[in-house]
Formats: sequence, structure tokens, C-alpha cells
Amino acid sequence: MSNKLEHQKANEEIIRELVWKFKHGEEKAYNELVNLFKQKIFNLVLKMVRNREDAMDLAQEVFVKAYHSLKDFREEASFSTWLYRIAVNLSLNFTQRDKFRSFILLEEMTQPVLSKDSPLKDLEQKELNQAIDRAVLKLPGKQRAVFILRHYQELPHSEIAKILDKSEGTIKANYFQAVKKLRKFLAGFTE
Amino acid sequence: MKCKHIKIKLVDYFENSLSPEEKSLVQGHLDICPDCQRELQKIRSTFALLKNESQYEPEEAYWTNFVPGVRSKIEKDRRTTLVPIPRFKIAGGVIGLTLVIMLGIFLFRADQKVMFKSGEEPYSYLLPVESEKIDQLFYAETSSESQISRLFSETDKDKLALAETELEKTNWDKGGKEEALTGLDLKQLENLKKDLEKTKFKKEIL
Repeated sequence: MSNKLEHQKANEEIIRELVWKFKHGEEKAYNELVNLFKQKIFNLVLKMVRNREDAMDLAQEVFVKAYHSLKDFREEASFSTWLYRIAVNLSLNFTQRDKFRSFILLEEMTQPVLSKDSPLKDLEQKELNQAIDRAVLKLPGKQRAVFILRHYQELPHSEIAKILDKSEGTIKANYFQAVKKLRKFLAGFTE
Repeated sequence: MKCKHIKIKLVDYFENSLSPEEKSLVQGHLDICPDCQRELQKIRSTFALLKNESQYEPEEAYWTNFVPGVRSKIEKDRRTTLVPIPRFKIAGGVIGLTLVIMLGIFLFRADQKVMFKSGEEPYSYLLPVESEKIDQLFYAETSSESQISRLFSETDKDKLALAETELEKTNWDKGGKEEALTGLDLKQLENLKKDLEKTKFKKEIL
């Protein structure tokens, strides 16, 4: 067994124990769960909503929602799968609800500080960031979720299938479609 | 294998996530198909572009305050749910609201009766007629008496007569008598006197 796999198994065991402790009244165990997943969830939410302020708030909301539902969590899936599902659903609901607002705020969201050395490069970078944000936000919800879980979170198709409760084939098809659309949306930068 | 079957697998080929058999199949096709080669090149460029996207990392303070922030939101939620509105309170509220509406309707209708009593609708204030009849009466006010009478039963007609006489009496009692009489000439007064003699209230008026 490889070291990576062993490490992963050990992690899963720790997470299961923390969930068990929380379910049996140990409140502090939840803080540890939050600390273990906060960065992954923030990154996922940020890529989904494409707005820093919203992502900072929404990432916390994911853990608030998970806290309220954890007592009913039957552990049919792993805690991380279950948590990712909450994060994806909250993000999708958010962008659905705030679709228009997200597009408006897009202008404000990716504004890197222009360095004195290479202002032109910074400007190009800003344009590129905005183009990617727009392109990703233009993807249909499920395709966006699949693309982000695969490309940014680097999850295998099988895990994404569990998170989104779809077959692996559907996930592969969604991913292919997402990449095809992104290629089209970003054509101006690649050609 | 046709191009369309290969193109579907190009993303997986690029990510090296195909099985060895599939990989060699795609590789074999790419060697002879310039169109699919171009397609693969576009996929490569797109992923290269995505790789250049800036990464954002929140400040340390955000991570330090992350758990307290989550806890504070949980507490806020808890405080809201600790004071739930019990079902019986909802039921009480519904009943209360119904009572208020009923009281409102009652007062509104009572108010309408008072309005009619004030003299705007002389025919209706003593009559136990339904609102529909009152409306009909309102429009029939300028019509002949026979039209009005048809709206009511015999009993109502008696009450109508009583209402009219009561109204006349009230108006006279309010002091309009002198004012009305001073505006009449001698002949008119004579005629009025004759008319009044015919009424059952002549004694009272004279």
C-alpha cells in the first residue's frame, strides 16, 4: 500500500471519529472538522461563485448548514463527499439567485494590484482572470460543478459522481461539454 | 473509429485518464487525423490558459476567525430557533385574525346603518331590509311610490309609511317649521293648511 493511500485512510479514520464524537455531544469536535476542511471548501466555493466576498461568507454558511444537518448524516457517503455536496448546492443556489449580481460584481472581483515593474502584464492578467470568470459562470450549473470539482479540486470522476449523485458516464460527458464550451468562450485568448 | 468517438475522449487523453487500451486507440487515430490533432491542440491551449489564472488566498485573519465566525452564525441560528412560534400560537393567531376580520365586518355594517339613520336614506333606517333591497331602494328613490312599494312586503310597506311620517315629524321639530312658513305667501299657506288638515298629525302641527 502506498504512503499516500495510507495517509488518506488515516485521515478518513480521524474524520469518522470526529463525526462520531460530535454526534455524541462533543461540540469541539466540529471545530476540528471545520479546520480540516475550511480551505478546500473556500476554494471550491470561490471557484463556483467567482466572487471573493461572497465566497468568504458562503464558505462559512456551508459549515453552518452542515452543523445543523450533521446529526442526521447517515454516513452512507464519506463526510467530505457529503460536505462537498452541501457546498456545491449552496453555491449553485447562490449563483442562480444572484446570477445578475454576480455578473455585475465581476468587474470588481478580479482586480490585482498593478505592479510598477510590469503594469501591462498585470492588465493582461486582469483581463484573463475576468474572461475565465465570465466563461466559468456562463457554464450551466451542473457542468460548472463538474468542471470545478475535476479541474480545480482534482477529484476523480468516481468521487464527483458520488458528490453530484450521478453516474460516472454522465460526469465524464458533463466534463467534456464544459471543456468544449470553455474552449469556445475563451477562443479569443487561445487563438 | 470515427473522429466524433475520438473527440469525446480527447479531454481524458490530455488528462491521461484513459485506460491503456483506449489511450493507444486514440493515439493511433491522432497519428493519422490532422483534424483531431488540431482539436487536441485547442484543448491543450485552453488548459494552459486556465493554468495562468490568478489564485486568490484570503488574509490570515480570515482563517483565524473562520471557526469563531461559523460558531457565531450557528449561535445566531440557534437563538432564532430557540424561540419558535408554537403551533398553538399560530392557531391562536389565525383565530384572532378571524375574529378581528369578523369584528371589522360587523362594525362596518353597523356604521352603514348609522349612516342611513342620519337621514341620507330615509326609507331604510327603520326597515329590516337586506343590503340588496337598500341598493334597489336607493336607485328607486326618485321613482314612483308604487315602484318602491313593490320592493317590500305588506309589513315593510307599513314600516315605510311609519318611517316617512317619522322623518317629516323630525324635520319639523328641528325648527324648520318657522323657516319654511316665512318663505310662503298667503295662498301657499292656505293650501298647506288644507293639506296638513288631511294628515293624521294636523293637531300636532297646528
